[in-house]
Amino acid sequence: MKINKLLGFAAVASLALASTVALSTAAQAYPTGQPMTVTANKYTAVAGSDIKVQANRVYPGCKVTFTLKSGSASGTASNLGVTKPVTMYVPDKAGTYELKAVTKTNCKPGVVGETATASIVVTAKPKKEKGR
Amino acid sequence: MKRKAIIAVCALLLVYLAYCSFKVSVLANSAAALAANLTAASASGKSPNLEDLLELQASAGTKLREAASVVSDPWLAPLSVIPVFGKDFSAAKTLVLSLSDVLEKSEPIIASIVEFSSKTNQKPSDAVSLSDNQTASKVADLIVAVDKSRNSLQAIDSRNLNFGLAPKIQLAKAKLDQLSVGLVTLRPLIAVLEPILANQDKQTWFVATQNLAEARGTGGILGSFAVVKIDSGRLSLAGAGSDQDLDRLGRVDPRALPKNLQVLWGGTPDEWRDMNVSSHVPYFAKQIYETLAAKEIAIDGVIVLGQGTVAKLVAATGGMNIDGVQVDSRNIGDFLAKGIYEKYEDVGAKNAWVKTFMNKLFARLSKRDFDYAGLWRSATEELSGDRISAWAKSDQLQSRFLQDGVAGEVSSQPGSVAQISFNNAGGNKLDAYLKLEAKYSLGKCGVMTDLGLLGRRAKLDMLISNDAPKRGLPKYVTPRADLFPGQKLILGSNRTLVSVYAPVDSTIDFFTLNGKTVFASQGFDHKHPVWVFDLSTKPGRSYRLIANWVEPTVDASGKNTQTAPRLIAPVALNPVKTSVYTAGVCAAQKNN
Repeated sequence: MKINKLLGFAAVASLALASTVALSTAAQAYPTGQPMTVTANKYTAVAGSDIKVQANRVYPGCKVTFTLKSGSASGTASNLGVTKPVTMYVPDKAGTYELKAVTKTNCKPGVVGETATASIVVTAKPKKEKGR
Repeated sequence: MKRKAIIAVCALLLVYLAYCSFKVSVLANSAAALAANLTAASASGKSPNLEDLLELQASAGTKLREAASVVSDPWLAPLSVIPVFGKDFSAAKTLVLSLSDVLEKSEPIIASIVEFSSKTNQKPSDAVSLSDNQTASKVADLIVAVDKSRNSLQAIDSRNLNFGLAPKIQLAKAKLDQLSVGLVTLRPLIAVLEPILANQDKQTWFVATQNLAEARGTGGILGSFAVVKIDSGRLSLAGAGSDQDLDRLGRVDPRALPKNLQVLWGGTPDEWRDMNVSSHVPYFAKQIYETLAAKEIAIDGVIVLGQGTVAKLVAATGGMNIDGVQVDSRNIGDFLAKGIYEKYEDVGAKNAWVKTFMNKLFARLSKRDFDYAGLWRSATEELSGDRISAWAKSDQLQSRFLQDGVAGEVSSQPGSVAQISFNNAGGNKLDAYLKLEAKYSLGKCGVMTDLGLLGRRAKLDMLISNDAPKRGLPKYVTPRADLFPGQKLILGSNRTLVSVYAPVDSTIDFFTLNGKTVFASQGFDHKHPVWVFDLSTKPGRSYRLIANWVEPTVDASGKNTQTAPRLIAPVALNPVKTSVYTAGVCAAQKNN
């Protein structure tokens, strides 16, 4: 057992790096949720129907292009860092498809072509009852 | 002849009435003595110590048994239909039998406490062989009995009582409410600690101390750790450190967290402060275990706790004064989440305070001189939404944690189980001011999910409040590391990823925030769809986030999967109010 190795690190850290319940400085914080995300009002949709999609956590004014196998659309981020929802048609064939959002310009400092993806499950159209 | 018969009947009636009078007077005396006992225990202004508790148990037991024999006497059954008096007799019967059941279920628990106390009341250096009495499951049985009794007493209409029973029922109700809160609070602590302490093997446990002021899926950011050694009931602090010490070990081995979840919350999976974004505690614990194992550091398991549990440990060991700061179980959680940042702007001084505190706390725990009364008082106060959980390397112990509901597992089982968690996306300590009330309701049946399963509508209504003040908070508490360059910082504003774990195979109906449509990211954790809402909040404001979905009532084979609705609250610094509602079970219908 080499637990002392771990404790050795702790000892070296001593006062300045002491144990704390309330530790982690602002500089240490690595907040979650920083990359761009792409969201939809539905992640399961009937073949040929439409869904609404949106990009979030985008630099204000940045243009984003959305692509799905069936087509593409685009939107621009507001001051809140969110694009307005845009409508996209899902493919005619059942399956799982990748919805992709890509920033088209240098939207975040030093970041070009930031990408976010989500899975869209397309279900078959319900069969129509045939009348006699 | 006829006259003799009448005289005989009258005589018998007199005897019967005398018998009834005697028995009722016994009942009245027992009830009065019992009420006096309970009132005296409250009026003393302090929680009973162990001796008081045993005395109370013995005297209450005697009185309750006397009273129970009266109300269960078949000869007295007709009394319940007598006008005016009958309702009092029925109420007394309900009260006595309810309390008897509670007392009976509490007896093995009190015996366990007495045994634990007598065994640990030796020199701290002495080895002790503690028993694993499965106390947590007995506490769970007692909680059921208490809830049943509360419901029975709730059903009594006090307005119909005429003989002074109403205040006694009120007193019993108040005591049962208090008992329920205390038991629910303490059960997880017992469930984690009893099997560990009763294990006679030498063990090393990693205590992951979360800072609930910066939310993560399992509760809070991993701010510090302690390494505790346990050997034959002897507990010692082998050492403690901060997240910065963990950084010195290198990056986290993130493989225990599925890749899709590493992406869902947008964290950095190999970062110590982002590793616990999922609510599933075993992911978090296994990442710690595997990272340490790669450094040839062996541990037997991980105990995960936050400020609320720390407060309970302080309650069990007593308050302390460090650098002029007097802390006890009532203020330690708040001090560690808020006050410490006001007192110490210098991180080194702050860390030194906490290091002293941790060392004192564990030194006291290792002395095994416990304040049971203080612990019980603290447990009944319900000051936090914290929950302790644990993961063990041993499959047997892990099964036990799972069975006792302290494994922090997200179950893959179908049924009406929803869960909420928070992740702080601002890199601040403002979740100390985050409040939540949530209601999970099951609605209309006979609706299809988008995946073609027969189901019903469901709604999760969340009122989320940011109670941070607009000014006066230390800089350390209020940063917004997520803001883009040029974006204005509103002091006290926050950004929270609110995650909703919907029942297995549920599909989205629609979501709203303050009445307007919103979208959420979607991922899957243990078959549950997880919807992550990116919520920006301003100080002093509340937000109504409503998630509507369709959840299946059958599985793919058509088998009924309905269960009673259950909503699992996030582990949080502040208490979370949750409730569930259902109009009933959906009738069996054929899946189309």
